[in-house]
Amino acid sequence: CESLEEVPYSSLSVDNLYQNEADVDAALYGVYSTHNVSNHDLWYFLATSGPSESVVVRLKGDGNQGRLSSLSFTATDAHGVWWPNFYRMINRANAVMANVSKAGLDPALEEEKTAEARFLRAFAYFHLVKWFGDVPLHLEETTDFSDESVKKPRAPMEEVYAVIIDDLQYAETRLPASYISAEQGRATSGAAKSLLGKVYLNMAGKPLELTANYALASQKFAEVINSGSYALQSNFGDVFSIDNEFNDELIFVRPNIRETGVGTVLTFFAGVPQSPFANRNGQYQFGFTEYFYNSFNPEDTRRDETLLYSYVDALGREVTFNSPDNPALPFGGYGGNKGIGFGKLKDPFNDISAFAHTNDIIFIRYADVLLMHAEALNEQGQTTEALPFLNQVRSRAGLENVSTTDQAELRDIIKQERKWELAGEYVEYGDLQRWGDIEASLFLNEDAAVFNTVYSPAIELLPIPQGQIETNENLTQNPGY
Amino acid sequence: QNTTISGTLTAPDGTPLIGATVQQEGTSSGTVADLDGNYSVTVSGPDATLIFTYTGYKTVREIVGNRTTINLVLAEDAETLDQIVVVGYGSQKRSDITGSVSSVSSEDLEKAVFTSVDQLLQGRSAGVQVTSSSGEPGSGATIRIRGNNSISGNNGPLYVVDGIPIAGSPNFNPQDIANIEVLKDASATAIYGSRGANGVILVTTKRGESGKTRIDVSHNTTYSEVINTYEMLNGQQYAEFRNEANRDLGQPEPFPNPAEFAGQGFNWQDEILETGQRSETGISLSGGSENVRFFVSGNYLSDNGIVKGSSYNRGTIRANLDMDGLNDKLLVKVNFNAAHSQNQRAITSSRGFPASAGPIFNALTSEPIVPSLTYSGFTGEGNQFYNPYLEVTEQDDRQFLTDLVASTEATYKITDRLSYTFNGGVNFTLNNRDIFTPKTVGTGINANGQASNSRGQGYDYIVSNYLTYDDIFRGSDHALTAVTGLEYSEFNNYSSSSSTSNFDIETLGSDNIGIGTGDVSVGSGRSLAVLQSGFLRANYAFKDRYLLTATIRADGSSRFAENEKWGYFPSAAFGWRVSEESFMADNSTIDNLKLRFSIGETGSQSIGSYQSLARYGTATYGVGGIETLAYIPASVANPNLKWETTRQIDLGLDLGLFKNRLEFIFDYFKKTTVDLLQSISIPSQSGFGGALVNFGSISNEGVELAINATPIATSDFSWNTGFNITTYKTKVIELGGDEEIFGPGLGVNVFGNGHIFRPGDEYGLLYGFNAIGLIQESDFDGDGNITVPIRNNDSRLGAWKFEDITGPNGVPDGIITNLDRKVIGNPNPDFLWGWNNDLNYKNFNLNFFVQASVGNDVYNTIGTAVNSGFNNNEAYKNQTVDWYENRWTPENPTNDIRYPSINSSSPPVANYMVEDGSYIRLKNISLRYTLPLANSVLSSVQLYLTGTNLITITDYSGFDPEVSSLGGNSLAPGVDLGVYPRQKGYTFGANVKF
Repeated sequence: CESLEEVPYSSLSVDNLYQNEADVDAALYGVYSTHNVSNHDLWYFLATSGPSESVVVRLKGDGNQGRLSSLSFTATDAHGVWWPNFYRMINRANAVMANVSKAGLDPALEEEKTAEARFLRAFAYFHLVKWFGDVPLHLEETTDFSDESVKKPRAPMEEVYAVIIDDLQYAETRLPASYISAEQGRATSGAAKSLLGKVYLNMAGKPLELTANYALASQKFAEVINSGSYALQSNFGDVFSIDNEFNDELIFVRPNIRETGVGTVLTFFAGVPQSPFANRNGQYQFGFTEYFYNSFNPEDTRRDETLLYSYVDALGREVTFNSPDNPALPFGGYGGNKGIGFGKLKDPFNDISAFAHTNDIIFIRYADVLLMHAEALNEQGQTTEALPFLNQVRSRAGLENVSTTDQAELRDIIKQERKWELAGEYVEYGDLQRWGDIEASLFLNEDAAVFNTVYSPAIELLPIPQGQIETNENLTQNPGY
Repeated sequence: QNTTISGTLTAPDGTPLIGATVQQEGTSSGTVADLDGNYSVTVSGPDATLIFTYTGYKTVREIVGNRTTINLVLAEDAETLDQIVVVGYGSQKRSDITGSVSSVSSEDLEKAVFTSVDQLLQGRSAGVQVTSSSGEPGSGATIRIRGNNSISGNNGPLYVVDGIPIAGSPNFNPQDIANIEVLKDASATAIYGSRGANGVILVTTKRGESGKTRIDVSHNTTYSEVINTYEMLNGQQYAEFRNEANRDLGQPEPFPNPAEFAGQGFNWQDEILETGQRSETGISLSGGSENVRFFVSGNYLSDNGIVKGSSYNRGTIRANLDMDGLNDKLLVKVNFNAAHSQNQRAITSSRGFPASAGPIFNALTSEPIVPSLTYSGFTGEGNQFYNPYLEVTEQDDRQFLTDLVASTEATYKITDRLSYTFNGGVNFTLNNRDIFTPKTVGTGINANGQASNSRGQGYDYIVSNYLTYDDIFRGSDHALTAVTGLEYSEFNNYSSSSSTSNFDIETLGSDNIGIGTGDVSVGSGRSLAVLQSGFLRANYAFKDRYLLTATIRADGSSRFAENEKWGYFPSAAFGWRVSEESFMADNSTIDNLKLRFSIGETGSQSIGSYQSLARYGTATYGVGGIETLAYIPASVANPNLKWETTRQIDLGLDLGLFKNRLEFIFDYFKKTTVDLLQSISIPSQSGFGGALVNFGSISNEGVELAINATPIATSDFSWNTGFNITTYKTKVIELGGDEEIFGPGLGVNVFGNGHIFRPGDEYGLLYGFNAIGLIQESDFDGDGNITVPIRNNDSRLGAWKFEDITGPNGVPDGIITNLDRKVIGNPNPDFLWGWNNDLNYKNFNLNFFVQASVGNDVYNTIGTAVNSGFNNNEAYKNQTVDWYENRWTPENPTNDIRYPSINSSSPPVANYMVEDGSYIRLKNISLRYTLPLANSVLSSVQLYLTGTNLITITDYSGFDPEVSSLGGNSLAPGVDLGVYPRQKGYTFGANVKF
């Protein structure tokens, strides 16, 4: 019966979307927007930075926060949200690739849009492969939910990396070097090269140990460095200032603004109680450890930017709750449990929503590239060549130059430098994985001590979320879970 | 030659039968008896036959012969059950009904004070559960007929008003109702096919009768007050409490000298509550000539609730017109109803966090010590103060609802047995809501004033055409009546919304939101759904005692997916009127005995429009630091999505004893709903978390009993009483891919989901931790280590101690995690009953109505929020005196889980929130006096006094046990988040009839 056909007047469908470039851009923003979902940032932080020795959480007992930060993973923990979130990103990217041709763009422009979608797909797969190892490959848009379509088994890590490299190589030559200010936050060729370098670096490290990739990595980092597009901020604190967004040091960020849906909730969870950021509702659910504080050279200017001891309260009064001499603030409510506030996530003027903050999520910045470049060169035995890149980062922090040419010694210095420079910036767990340092770090992890976590090879990877195994019998669990 | 016949018609007790009809058979010539029962009618001659009819009495036929005077005493019809009952697309004699249908008449309704059509069914009909969500003027109610059939779909019944199905619940003056039929079993509801599964409520409005114009004027005024309040800490107690809490945390005392607050501090409940006043004025006119009859009414209701700033005003107009034409072969009924309500709401949540924090929540939790009643700055401790008084007085939340229903029903008698009916109707609804939150209130504080406008418009059209063939084999032992027809309906909805913030000038509020200079958010939507149907019903009776009803309806709905556009809903029912059998003829005790059995399938098409399609949605992304529109694939197509199907059997018994002065109606039913609409999880690697499918089933099984009795009936004194009781169990049989489904978070500073749906369990069980005591000194060993399992590392003295039920390996693991939750309550009542009594003594009438819900548990979420101390530095919470005086302290090491220590962790959903929500309530008591009048202008004057909710027997400690904060959500029955408190009221009123 004709009249029973539905016309979805106010819903878009694949039939009326993709009319022109603006439509394609809106679909691409849809791919980016995948991670602006509630609490994603909290779990993203807790399983990337949480397992390090630098970060401690307030809620130790109740599953998710305690276990993620203490490497005592279970298949039902909240890290499971990434699986759907990143696959949603992949499917949205696949949808753009499948439909972009409907917009009738110039071939070069169509390739640029495809490149952006492929960059984002690679970005998602890189996260998945780092955390879960072998993962199913979905390279087509999902249009039905038949078993063949949605119950694919896990593909070997090497195959997943091959897709990532293919996507990024496609993207690096087709994405623009920069965007006009209204489009900042989109993937550039510099972002693609940086990410590709990072992918190679990770493949060269554990678990694959394809050491030939160090050379490929340093080649990509050199391209980024030599492009002249990026520079370190002279003052470390300026990197994170919400008054200095899209600065030259940032290579790929997720832009956030104080609107529900496009802000980050992370500042709310990081905010110390009654602090002006988080709209005075800060939950203060995690902080830095005193061990991390003590690891700093007192001359290091990064320490007192990364850690927070005072704030301006709602009445405009400066409240100093602690000092560099006695940095740790009790989390409150549970007694005995302390942490040091987060200085990198300040949004002092949020008057819209306690949950949606303007602090951008920094995925790759120039200091990271410099340190990765130093690491890649050092691993190839090019210690002398590595030093200037390391020292650029150190001198910005007010530290003396390093001059050792001992590869092992330099390796340790670079690792520690990353911990100081990038603390709380979602790189720690991946770094520890790549270096094979999870076991060593475990003894320094305050939360792991509370949980009596014992090292087992299982914690080199996260468990596949239980819900996914239950809905797809073709998935196998990682060993040890 | 014409002769005039006159006479008097009386009842057996001698009272005149006012308005009895006298008609010459085969002609339109006739009259009605006057106030004294006298009539005078002209007949064609001695061969003429006069028919004397009067409702409730046996019809008499008399051949005139040579008489000029015929005085008659009409015998009461022993089968008073034989009222005419409206069923879908027609009506039937009660005695012929084979399904389960309960009726509520206007007489039952006139004796209480109702604002909405939903409310008046409460307790009046077996099998019907009515729970109003709060005591807010104009608030709706949740109606469940024989339990919940669905988990994620809709569980509300279908309303049909004068043959026109209404989306949602009808908005008009309940005084216009002549009677209500509740169709419960499949035999009765299958004629409504894909919309019948949750039961059908047929509302028939009043119509005019030929004769003198009758004018009814009524007015009543109600004063009401809150039933119950919480006793909260006063100024000095609060200061002491806060000092103690801070001392315990090693923080400075906020109130160095608590004594200075003696006798001070605001009791915010008192500040936001007042005596409610409700008044209602109505007028109706009815009458007409023989061929044109009318009923016209107007009603104005003004209800100023007990929370300041809240009010509900409604005006309604109805015009029902009946016209006969073409030698009585054509009957046209025109119905028109307009209703407009203006609801000033004062309970609006004004903050996003904690959820549902509005003035009621804030009145309980706000600290009593602030500089003034209208203060909205920071408290002494530097915390934002959310002022409940300003929330009720300064926040402006207007909801305007306009409803227009118009329909025309035309029935043409093609032959004297075959008739054709056309019924066409429109239903227009406009729903506007404008909210302005000034900069002194809630989110307005940080947003510098916030405003939103939202508009919804609905245009529904329906056209039905049907043929009725009445009594096809007339004159034989076989009686067959059939109805068949076609119907087309269309549902159009349009909506738009806009909001902004930053109002430097607040004077114009939401009337001109263009003044706000903040970010603007706008939206709109449009949907269309179409329903095409065909239906057939046949009623067959053999010798008036063996009854068979068969029904089938076919529904084609645009909401169903492409492969499942059409659904077919059959039913059959059998009745045996045992009392008509010859072997019962001599039985003088049993007047009526009927056995009924029915079986059938109905559907629920509570699928939203477009749910089966692959849709794109919108999102936003902050590219370039600007909120920018983004498109996302939002759902994956399901070309097989269809209705939920409910299969129901019903076994019934109707028994009438002692000339039907004692009646029993008993029903057993069992319903199974299959193909539940569920969002099942699909592997997320698809890019989608779930898909809407038909999977899973739940069942309802129960019994209903209604007893109606007239123990006393003399000319001076009579007592009618009706009692009904219902019990049923709703069970989850099978779910989709998920083994368990949790309800929504409970909000209000209590954390976690509180309901669980699992195969094998009852519906919506309360689920959470099981506190078994409080942590005491004795729970620590010699080294100061805790020896009992703890949650969130919280081992402080006086904190909750929870039962360690299990761990990841299936055995208790010494730590309290989410695995240690269990079923802690059941929100489903064991029994629901209602008891109505009507006593008449001369000119006095006393009516009282008692209603009860027994055995249901309620989450007193708000109670826990104000009875658990100071959680996680949440400085804004006041507490009850009861908790403060009985709480755990080193000196008072109580183990009562209701009284944790002063600094506790945030309460997770647990057994301490669960209370017995059983209650027995004197819902209504009404005393009426009818003035004896000799005056011929006034036909009657009635004065009355009515009390509403005067007595409630309950153990529940909150405002009121009858609560359903999340009433709109089937997944969360029995939750009290601190709703608008229910009130008890005293009404004075008068009805004058001309």
